[in-house]
Amino acid sequence: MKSNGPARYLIFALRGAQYALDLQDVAEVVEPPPTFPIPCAPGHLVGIMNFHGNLTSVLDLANFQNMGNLTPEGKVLVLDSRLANLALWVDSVISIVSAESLRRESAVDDEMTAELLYNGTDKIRLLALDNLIQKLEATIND
Amino acid sequence: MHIPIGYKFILGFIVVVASVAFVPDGVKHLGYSPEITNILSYAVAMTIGLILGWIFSKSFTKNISLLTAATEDISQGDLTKDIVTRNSVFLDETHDMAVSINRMVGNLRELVKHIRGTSENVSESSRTISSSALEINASSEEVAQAVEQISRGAETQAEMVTKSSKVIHEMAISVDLIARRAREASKAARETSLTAQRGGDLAKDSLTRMKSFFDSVELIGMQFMDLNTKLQQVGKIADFIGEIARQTNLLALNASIEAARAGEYGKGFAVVAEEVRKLADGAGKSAADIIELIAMVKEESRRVHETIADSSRNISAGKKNIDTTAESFREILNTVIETERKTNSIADLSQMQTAGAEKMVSMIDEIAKVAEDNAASTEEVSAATEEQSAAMQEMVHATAELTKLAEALLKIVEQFKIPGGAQLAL
Repeated sequence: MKSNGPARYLIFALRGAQYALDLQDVAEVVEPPPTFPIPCAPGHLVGIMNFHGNLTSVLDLANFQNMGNLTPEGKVLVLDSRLANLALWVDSVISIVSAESLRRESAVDDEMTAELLYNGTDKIRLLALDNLIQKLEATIND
Repeated sequence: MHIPIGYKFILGFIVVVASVAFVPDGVKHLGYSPEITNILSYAVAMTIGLILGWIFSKSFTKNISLLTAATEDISQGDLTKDIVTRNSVFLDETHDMAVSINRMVGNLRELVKHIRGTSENVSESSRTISSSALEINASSEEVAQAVEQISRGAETQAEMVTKSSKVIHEMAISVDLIARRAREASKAARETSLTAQRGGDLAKDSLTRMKSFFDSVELIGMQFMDLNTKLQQVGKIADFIGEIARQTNLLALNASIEAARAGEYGKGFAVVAEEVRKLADGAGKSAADIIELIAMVKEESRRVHETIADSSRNISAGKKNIDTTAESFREILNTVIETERKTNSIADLSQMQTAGAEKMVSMIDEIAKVAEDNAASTEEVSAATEEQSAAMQEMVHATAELTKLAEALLKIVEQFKIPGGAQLAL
């Protein structure tokens, strides 16, 4: 369900760096909910949360990116269910910006980054959700 | 019967003459021729005259010979013998002379004995005097040394007394200064007493004001506590507003997400959501500012409260200090009054001491004079002792001379022999 208008991005912070998600890929932003641990799950999977009756896995994105452990007072970004029943635990949500206000740069330096966006001098990494989900599935299957 | 020797000569002459006169008649009876008778008469007369003359002269000169021999013995110093004259019925001047000479010899014996004894005594006494004089001379020298030491001591004493006099003069000046200082101290104590009294009054006034201030501070503290409580309530409200703003922000964010997901249909809603999000942001920031301000105010109020608490404690301590100060002022006042009394007493005593010191100075001056006189007298005594020592030495020489004279006299006297052969050993 893609809109025809210009793209908008949700900018969030993780360990001092700024990341972006396409607003179409985000279902909701919630406060860190009560979670239920998943037995034998890797450390970066915080647990299972109840998101409007759906069981949704909560991923500690900082841990998954090997950037440290989660921030308790952070925010949880629930992804659109068409991608996965997955929520990302991040440090904070910064803002929603229009793609028009950003400068794009296609050259990337890691597989988790789809594009590099620049809001003035701020460097924002557009998260490559497909790669992230594949890598997460790979870690779960391992 | 005493007959003078002249009469004896006359009687002898008469007897000789009578015999010569009666001889011719006797010769005539012999019957010789006149020539023979004359010659015989002359011869017999001359013979009888010679015989009688010899008998008479011998009789007359025997005592004189005895006297001559006795005087010769006396002249030789022999006083051992008495003159024993021939017993005669007719005593004459020779017998008297013998008696007189015997008496003279007896007297000479006594005299010699006396002179001997006296010479011995003089010799012994002169030796004793000589030894005593030597001892006295030695003692005089010791006395002279002692007097010399006394003289030096007297000079030292005079110097020390002079120095003491100077010191006492200075002490008298110091005592006078002490008296002045004591009067000044008394005056200062009076002034201090007045100052302490003023200080005590001020301390009481300060105490009253401090109590009032302390009450005000306590009231301020209570009002501040109340204000702090209200600030806490405001803080809670601001927290609540902040939480609402945060949730509103989250809702606006999610509304924006929903609007974006709604596509064209959600554009208007997205604008509203964006405005709501901005308002929530503004409200959140304002709430955060309020919270920050409240935190700052809380911090400031905490500091002010601590300051007030410290001030209260300090004021409490100050109150105690002022109480103590007031008490101290009272004690100072009492002490100063006592000090004033004592300094007055010191001033009076110093005045008396000054008078006493002046008297002491005059007495010390008198003592100095006496010490100087003593020094002079001891010098005179020293000189007199030296003269005495010299005189003693002269006396020693004189007693030695006297001993020699006594010994010489004894030797001379020993030339006289007396019965018993007593001869004094020198």
